[in-house]
Amino acid sequence: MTDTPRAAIEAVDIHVAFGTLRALSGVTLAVKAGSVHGLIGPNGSGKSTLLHTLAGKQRAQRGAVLMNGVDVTTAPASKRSRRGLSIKFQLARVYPELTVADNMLLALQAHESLPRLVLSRSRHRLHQSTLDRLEQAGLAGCADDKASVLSHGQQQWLEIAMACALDPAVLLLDEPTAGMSPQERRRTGGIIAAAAQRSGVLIVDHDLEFVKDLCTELTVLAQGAVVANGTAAEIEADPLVREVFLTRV
Amino acid sequence: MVVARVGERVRWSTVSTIGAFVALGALPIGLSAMDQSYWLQFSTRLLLLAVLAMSADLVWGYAGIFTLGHALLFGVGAYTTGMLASRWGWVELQGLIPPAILLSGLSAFAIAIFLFAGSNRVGGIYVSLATLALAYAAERLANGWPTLGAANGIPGLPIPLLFGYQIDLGIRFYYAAFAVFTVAFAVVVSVTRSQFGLSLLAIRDDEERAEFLGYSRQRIQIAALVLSGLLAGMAGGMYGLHEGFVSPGFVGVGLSTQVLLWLVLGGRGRVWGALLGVVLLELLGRVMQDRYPRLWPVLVGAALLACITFLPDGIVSLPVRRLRERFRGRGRMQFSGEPA
Repeated sequence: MTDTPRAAIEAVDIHVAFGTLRALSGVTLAVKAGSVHGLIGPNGSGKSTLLHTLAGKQRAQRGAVLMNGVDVTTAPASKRSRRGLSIKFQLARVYPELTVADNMLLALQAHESLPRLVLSRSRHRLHQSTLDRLEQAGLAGCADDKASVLSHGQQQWLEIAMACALDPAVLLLDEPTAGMSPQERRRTGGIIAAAAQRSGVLIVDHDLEFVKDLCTELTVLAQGAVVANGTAAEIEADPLVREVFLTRV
Repeated sequence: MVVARVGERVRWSTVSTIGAFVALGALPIGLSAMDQSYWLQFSTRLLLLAVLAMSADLVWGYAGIFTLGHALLFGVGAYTTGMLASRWGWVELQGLIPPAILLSGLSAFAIAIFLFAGSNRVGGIYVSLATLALAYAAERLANGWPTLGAANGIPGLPIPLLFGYQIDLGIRFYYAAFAVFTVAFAVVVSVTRSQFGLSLLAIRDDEERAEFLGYSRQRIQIAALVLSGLLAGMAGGMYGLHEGFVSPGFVGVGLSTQVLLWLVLGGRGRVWGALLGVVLLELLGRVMQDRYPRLWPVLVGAALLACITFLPDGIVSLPVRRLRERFRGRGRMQFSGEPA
């Protein structure tokens, strides 16, 4: 008997509906620790809804979410985060009025206890870690700038860096390369590959070429259901995927 | 590559703070020399109301909790010292103020649990409505409850002592109030510049994002309200003793609204904004209300409308804007939502 590695995060038979619209119908998916898993599908196929369900933003009507085998289906987002889940949203959600350094510090101190935060008296304790993380993300030069002045690509990197700040066990990335130039995409790919050494990564993206190069496994969603699952080569060879995904994106 | 130090404070901010404290410390000496005892007492009142404003700013300006009943916490402090002094004959400040702070903090905790804990928490505009209702109910309760003196309140509070030393109205009470103001100022500055202060800004600016980062919104909002309650209770306890009476108006909607006006005019999310708002509205009110009793309320309304429209960050943002531009050419600075 062989030991299969426990999934970093699992969605088991997830059902989500918005009124009469069925967004997800019995979706099951597992992201292994240390792997990059791609989630692709046409617009409206339920990719973001699945990500939000995994992160705790959206409540599933049926089904379960497991993190490292522990049921977190009813846990709020903050508890899932403290268990090691981190998410980067489709539209960059950094704090525009705060500096880049303060944004990073927010991510780094997020799991500290309330008394420790209250008694900290200054924000200097994590100063070096903050700068190190910004250096890695290529943003150290704008540490004191407001996040609102960053370019679109820089905001995406800042958010990815924030998501990776505490070395999460599970990293959910919703369209991390949206609106980026090919050069920026390559760099983002490098950042994600580095993160995957420590985390199980689930990426939602429209760019099949990008996810194909990066992911060890792909899942294709269409109309809220899984239509295929496998390696990039298997997915590309699947006639159903070609029909559903490649012709409709 | 030179990277500007994270959290570095601008020097002018420290200089202006020291200057303001020196001026506040010297004020009673000047007023006493000119035999202006009325204005000395008036200044004492403003210092204590500024503490109330700072406590309200902590929850509204920094934590984004828009409460319409903040005077309730101030009033709890005032009624506590009032009851202890009038019913039990306590006169020592060191005995009177801690219970006021404690009871006000406990009240804030109870309100915070009611508002923020559990899955059916009160959110958004309903926090304002709930706190408005609480302040209204508290005022009605104080008005009708004989133990609290009903509509007459608790008059004739004694002049307090501090370790046997009489703190009579005038220069001594001013310095006692100044000490309270200094403590509150230090607490607010320390909290807002801390990592907790940054968490408050995160909850205020994007509550959901903060939760996805791992912050517990409930705990942070509860902590902010309790901290604010402790400060408001301290101010209320001292204010009642200074005025020599406590009345239902101390807990009510009127004073709660006034606090918001100070913050709108002075500026939210900046420690000096609270003090500026109190001084401007109360000082001008004192002068103008007697001379132009009909015109003054209209002027206040117009000033507030102008402020909301053209200066949403309050009057305190004016010098900050100018100084920021002036210093921009001299090197990097960091403001990042921290108090100026």
